[in-house]
Amino acid sequence: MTYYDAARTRMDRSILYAVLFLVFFGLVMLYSSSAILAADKHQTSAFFVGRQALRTLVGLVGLGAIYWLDYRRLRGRTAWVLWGFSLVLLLLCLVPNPLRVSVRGTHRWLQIGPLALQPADFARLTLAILLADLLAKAGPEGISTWRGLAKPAAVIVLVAAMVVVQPNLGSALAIGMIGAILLWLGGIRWRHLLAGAGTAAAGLLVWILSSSYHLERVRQFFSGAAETDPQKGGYQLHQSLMALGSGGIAGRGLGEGLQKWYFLPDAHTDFIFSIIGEEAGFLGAALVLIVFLFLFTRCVRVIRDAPDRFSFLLAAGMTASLAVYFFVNIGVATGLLPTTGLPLPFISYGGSSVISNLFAVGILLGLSSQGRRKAGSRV
Amino acid sequence: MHLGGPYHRRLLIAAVLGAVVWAALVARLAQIQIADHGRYASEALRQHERRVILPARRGSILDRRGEALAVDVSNPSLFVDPHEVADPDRVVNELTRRFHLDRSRVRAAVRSQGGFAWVARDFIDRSEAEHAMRELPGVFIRDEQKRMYPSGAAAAHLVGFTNRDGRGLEGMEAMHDRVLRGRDGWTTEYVDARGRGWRPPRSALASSRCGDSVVLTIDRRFQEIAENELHRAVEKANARGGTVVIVDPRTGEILALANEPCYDPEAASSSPPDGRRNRAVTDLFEPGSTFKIVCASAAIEKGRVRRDTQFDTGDGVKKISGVSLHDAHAHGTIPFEEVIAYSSNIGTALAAVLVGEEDIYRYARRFGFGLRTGIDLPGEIPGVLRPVESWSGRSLITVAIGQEVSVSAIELVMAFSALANDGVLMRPFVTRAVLDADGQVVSRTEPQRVRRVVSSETARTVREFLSMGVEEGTGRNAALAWCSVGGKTGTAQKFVNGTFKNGLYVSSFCGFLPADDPEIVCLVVIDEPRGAYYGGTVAAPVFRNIVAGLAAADMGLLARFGRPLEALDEDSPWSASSIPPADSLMVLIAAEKKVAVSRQAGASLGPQAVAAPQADLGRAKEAPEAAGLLVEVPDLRGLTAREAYRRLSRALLETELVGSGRVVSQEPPAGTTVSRGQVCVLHLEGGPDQEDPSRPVHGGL
Repeated sequence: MTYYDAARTRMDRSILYAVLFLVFFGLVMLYSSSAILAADKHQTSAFFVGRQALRTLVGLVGLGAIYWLDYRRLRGRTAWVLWGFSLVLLLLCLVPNPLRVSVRGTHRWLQIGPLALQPADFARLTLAILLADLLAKAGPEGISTWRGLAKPAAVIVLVAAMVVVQPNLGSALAIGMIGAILLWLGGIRWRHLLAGAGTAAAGLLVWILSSSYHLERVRQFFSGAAETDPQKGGYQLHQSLMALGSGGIAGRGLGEGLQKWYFLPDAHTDFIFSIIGEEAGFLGAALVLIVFLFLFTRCVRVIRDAPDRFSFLLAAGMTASLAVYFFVNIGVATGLLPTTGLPLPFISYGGSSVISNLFAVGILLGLSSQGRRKAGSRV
Repeated sequence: MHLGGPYHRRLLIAAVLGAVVWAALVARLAQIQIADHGRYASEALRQHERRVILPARRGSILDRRGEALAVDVSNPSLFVDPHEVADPDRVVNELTRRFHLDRSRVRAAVRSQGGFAWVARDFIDRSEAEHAMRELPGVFIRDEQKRMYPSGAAAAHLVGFTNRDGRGLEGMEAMHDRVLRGRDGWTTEYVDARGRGWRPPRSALASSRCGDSVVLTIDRRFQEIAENELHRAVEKANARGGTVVIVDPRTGEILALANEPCYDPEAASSSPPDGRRNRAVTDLFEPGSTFKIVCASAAIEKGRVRRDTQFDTGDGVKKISGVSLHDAHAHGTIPFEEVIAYSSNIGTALAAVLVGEEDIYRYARRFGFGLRTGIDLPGEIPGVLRPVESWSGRSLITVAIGQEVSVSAIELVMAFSALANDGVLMRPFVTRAVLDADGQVVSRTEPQRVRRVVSSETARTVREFLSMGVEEGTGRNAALAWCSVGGKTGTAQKFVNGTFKNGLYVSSFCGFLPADDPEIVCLVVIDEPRGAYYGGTVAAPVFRNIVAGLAAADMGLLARFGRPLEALDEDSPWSASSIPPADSLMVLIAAEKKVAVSRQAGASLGPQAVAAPQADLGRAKEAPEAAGLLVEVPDLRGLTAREAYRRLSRALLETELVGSGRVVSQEPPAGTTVSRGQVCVLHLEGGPDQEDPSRPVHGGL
């Protein structure tokens, strides 16, 4: 036990500070971007920010708990149990039941008492944990054959498939990417990876072609035309770019944004970054990017300094799950990627998202204390 | 640390890839936010800002003494924003009940698409409206300007009217539309994606400028007299219509211009178009004997005839140059002055032969016949006077006695005015001056001399003929005991579809007074009288009644014209007691304008600012009544809205009307002493139910 106690003092606090900065800055921007909608729909401008603050608190408590627990306990059967539990939650989204919530024809949420839960958010964490365990055990040699790859690949595909039929293509792709990154870091052979990616791409193509909704989004993305009709797919992107662009270098000032007056749909969730850009300008938006970059470099250090394969892959999995969402969200807001609804970690409104991300940070902080000590002892 | 395998190498690759993607994001962000900022900013501006028009208050139209003929009054209108309406059924029910509106129209407004729909635009009660706005989300008030014609149909053909959006369509409203309209100001407000303004408009980026006011040459008192007398005469003669024009011959100022049928400018769109025509300038008629002044003037001016030149009119029937002529009576051999005074066609024809075609034509032109007078009214149509080349052998005679020509009333009255003005023809005009919002004169119409028609001696001589005509000739019915009058009657058969129509006549009388130095010329035209049709019988008495009324209305006139006031027709409504005490009004009007201007300025600052401008009034020391800050509220019950408005504006109080029709009750009550500029709410017959217990009390106004 002394082993851990000694290590804990050496946890990478800069990770915690960066995350706390993002969380609190996120609450400020959440208030700014959601106050009008909240006042209109819920009679109080603090409706969304209040709920988000509460969930952030829950997330921070969870972060502490996970940090204090030994992350090694996640190995083996625990990983399978967590993963299996996620699958059950995902399954609850697929079959009609009292907990399931339908929004615009999708089934992404479960309502459990006062808690609105998006199982995909937890599935991506439990998947990463299970993959880290499986790949660490197998080692590069263990997954050098199709046969050895079967189990990790099946674990990924199962989760991604259950998410994609919600339908939630964006999250499914993100989960697939997290899985692919872990496979790659875990030592998968290039040709296997390419073959798998090819299969996934083919499947994706079939999926897109079979859905006029997705087809329209992709068409919009490649046409590049400014869309002013709110009914059309390109409208949201157009409004997002207008928000960012009109912000200029210094922004309109916090709270002074105009796009949140119903021009930009999902201004407090998937497109909150555009509101940041509008109100805080390039300086504010770039600051957010810099803080994320700083966070990820610290995470890469944690990965690098991991004492063993499991720690390495677990840290990589947690980092990947944050980074993929970050890159996709900003890519969508700036029009580099087709529009898809992924939240910006720590900042977008969404309880499951912020709680699961704080859990991930808890795991990373635990790993950092572990890795640092070992790294330090090496010098 | 050695984990074995490619772990660290691949981590490095992943980190580098991530860094590259991150750099790409930053570059893209810089492109959007810095390089393309201008484009996106202007695009966003178009999307977020909406121009809000600040309507200018339309200028007033005033009579020559400053009495309002057309004014803008502000009144609250109600509209709904359907997006904001929480409970559509309740809003429909409440609005329908409170404002007595048509349920289906209210429902249509509440259910309409977009963020704006009018619910009630006419004279609704402000406090009731404010009450509704507080209680019913989605219901709002907007102050609108509504055109009001306090003198009613008075001078309707001159004043004209506007459409709902305040555009002048007829008369002075159309003629001076640009002047009256002023300049709208504008500002901006922010809107949300549903088109609702969420940030109130900024203070004006370009302030509105009140329209200038137009002062007419019309004297409203004269106008009302002319209209009433004309109306009575047309009714009495069961005529189709009629026209009265009163002119100051020395300047060409139109003092009154009345037409029958008439219309109500506040209900112009629903009135028959026949009544909206300003016949005095648009309708032509054959003048008949009134045209004989041309022959008489030409004959005297050219020296072809003297006043005592004898003409043998025989037994009243004669054929000259192939034209069979009849006189109403046999006059035998009479001097030329009596030819004109008794309106002998035969004598006039004989004189015309002496004058000749060229000079008859030339003098007719010099009097302005066949030409536009250039009056500042829309739609003037010149009379028809064919050139000599197209005359037939009979034309000399027929033109001389006022046939084969057609004239407009304004042409005819101006020709007489030329005689009255010692031979000088003036351009008639209606616009006396333009005043800006502060009452400063922007422009003033200077009387404009058109030409000398005849020498002043000739003019005086012909005037003497015409005085004789009134004293002992055909115009005897126009005679006044207290003042010498000159004039000429006219009776012409109507020329319909190329033939003279039996039994249809235009009867006219054009006279002037005082005969020796005329200040007033008045033409009366009665179109298609039934029964008696001679100008001397139908039109001359109207002239007399009008002139008697003028004298009663304007004591100065009476004093100047010298002789004592004669008894009026028993059935004439004009007696000295019914006329409001005269001319201190001009001063009051000036003070009133100041109030209006200050109120206008205060309006944008909210209700608390309304009280402030009253301090300004202390300076209006010229009028004793105007110097006091307090006035007593007159009793207005039973009056029409217009009359009530008139009384209130004389008392320097503001009017707010609820409903339509006569005044049922007023707030504050009669006899209350209030400060000037106070708004008096008048509840009219057609207004919201007075007994409604839910009505809030007006005390807080």
